[in-house]
Amino acid sequence: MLNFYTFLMRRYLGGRGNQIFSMNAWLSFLGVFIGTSLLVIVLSVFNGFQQQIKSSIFKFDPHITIESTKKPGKVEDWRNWIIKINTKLGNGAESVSGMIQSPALIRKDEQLDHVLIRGMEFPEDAKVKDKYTFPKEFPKVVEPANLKNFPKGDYCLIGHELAGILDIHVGDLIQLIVPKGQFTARVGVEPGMKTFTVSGFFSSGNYQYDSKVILISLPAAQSLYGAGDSVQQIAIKLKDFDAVKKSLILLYEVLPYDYSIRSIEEEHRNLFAALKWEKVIMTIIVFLFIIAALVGVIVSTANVIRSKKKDIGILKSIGVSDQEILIVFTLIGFISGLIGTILGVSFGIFLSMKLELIINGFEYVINGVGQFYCDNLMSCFWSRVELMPKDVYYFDHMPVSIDARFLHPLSILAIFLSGMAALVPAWSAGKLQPIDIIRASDT
Amino acid sequence: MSVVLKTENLTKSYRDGEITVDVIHNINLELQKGDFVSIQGASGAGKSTLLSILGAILLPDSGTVTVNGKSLTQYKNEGRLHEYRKQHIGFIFQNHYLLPDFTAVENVMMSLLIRGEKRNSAREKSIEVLEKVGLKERINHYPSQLSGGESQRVAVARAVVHKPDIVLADEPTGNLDSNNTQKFIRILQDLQKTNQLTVLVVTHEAELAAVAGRKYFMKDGKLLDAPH
Repeated sequence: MLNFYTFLMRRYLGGRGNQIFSMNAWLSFLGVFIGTSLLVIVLSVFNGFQQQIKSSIFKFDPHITIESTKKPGKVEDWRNWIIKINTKLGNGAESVSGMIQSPALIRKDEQLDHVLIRGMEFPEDAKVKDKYTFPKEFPKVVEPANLKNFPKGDYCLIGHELAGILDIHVGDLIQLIVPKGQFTARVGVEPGMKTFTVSGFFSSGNYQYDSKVILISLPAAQSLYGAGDSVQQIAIKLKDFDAVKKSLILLYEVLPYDYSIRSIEEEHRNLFAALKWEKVIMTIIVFLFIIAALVGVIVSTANVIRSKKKDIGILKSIGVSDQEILIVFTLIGFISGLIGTILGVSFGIFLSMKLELIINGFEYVINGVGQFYCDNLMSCFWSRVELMPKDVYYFDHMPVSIDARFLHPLSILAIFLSGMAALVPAWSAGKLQPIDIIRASDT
Repeated sequence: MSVVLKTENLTKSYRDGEITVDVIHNINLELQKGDFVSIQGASGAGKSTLLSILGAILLPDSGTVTVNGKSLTQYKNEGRLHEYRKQHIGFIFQNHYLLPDFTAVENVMMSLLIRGEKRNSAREKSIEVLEKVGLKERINHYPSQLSGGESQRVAVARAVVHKPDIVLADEPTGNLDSNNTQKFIRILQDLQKTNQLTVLVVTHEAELAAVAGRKYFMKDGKLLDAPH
């Protein structure tokens, strides 16, 4: 019977002569094609968005921070705690280190701006004396491009956006002004000021960081803030971001009550709430795409069946069974789903890869038309449109990640459901009575 | 001669509002292998209904149909009426009822493919039969590219290619001109003789009825011997 199925399917999908597919088949593919390609694009952007958040904010930030509540901003015996935490977390910890992070003012010539200083532990460069190398997960150093280390002492790395804003170049001297020591009623907080040499610019992919953060070594920060050997926080980076909750429980077991333990989710509560909502909305949208594609399959299979009703009557009169008719038309839906999904997923991947280019293209066209309209027709001022403003979004590029773990099951699901969707009209086709069709054709 | 088809007290009626109309009434018919039987009668006499029942595309209200010892009711109870049609019947309709998206040879092949025949072998056998019905040059034409007579000859080829136990023909020349009717009769007669086919033809056409070995007449749903 396989010959019969392929024979019939090929003709009903392909039409006559040299046509590869009939118009009805193309329409059927189109429904699934649009559904799956949209699905791939939306999922890729969504995945990219989440991954970008992880690789920019989460990569730069510790997953868990520990502070003293007894002496705010001061953890004195931090080296002991690091050993205890490392023992408790075992393999789960990527790094446990002391950190100083505080707002500050930056002065470059006559310009003054507010920044965030992060004093962090850099590994010693084993090859070059008096120099640090960069830790494993560190933002990309964009200038000098091949910078592998930077000197100990009063040297800093600054975000490349901040460098642009304040017109800072590598090798320039900047002054950092910070609150130093404890607050006293007589003088308030004494400011501390130090000059640093800019060793390079980094790019984290996060505009907020790239325009505000200055990185210095922990000893330099301790000296700047007059913190002695203490740190403000203990920063923990985990190997697996999803292990944050489990690690928090372990840390509560090891740390006394006068230490506060905060996770990155608590630090970015609003962002995580938004992401959760986004996930819910995305699930609904994805579901709607699938429904739309399935309705397309049902409609097109029903169309094929309606146009082939007489054929079904003839086939049944010569001995084709209800089940065989059902199989033929279900397979037609399945093949439509298969071809539509393959084309849709391929096109979706292609568009996802070119999405930034497409958005830039749109931006270019909109601005071109707007500028032309203002210059030549309305004599107005055209304010440049940015579809993805860097200072509004977290990213300086369109985050797209094509994740095969999502695509494989979704593609299989789309193909399977296409067959299932075709089952409904195919079942009704199987139930058609040849005598009714033949009589209807005769009249 | 072995009995191929036997009907006993076959009855079929339709309800038209309050009235029940007997379309066929107590039909008893026996066909033996190689029989060529014709049934004539006026429109509405029940000829096509009888043929539809024998072809298992309509079921009787009462009575039995037996083909090669197995009853139609058995097939129905097993949910395998299609097997009855597939194994025993070759149907020729008044309108040729060819599949419009398939060529002449593909239409004929369909009869073999549904019986599990391999594609190449099905094509060879189909071409052979199409040659016999004089359509060697037209095998790759679609029904829309064939004349009425040619289409009906393709329908004959489709009905006989799988060598069925019985060929049922319902007004097969009803839409043909006299020239094509004669051609059709000659072909059907040849195929019937050479393949020892059992043919039951329902027709208005005296010329077609005349070639049958046994002739019946239907009136008011009853089967009568045709007047000589």
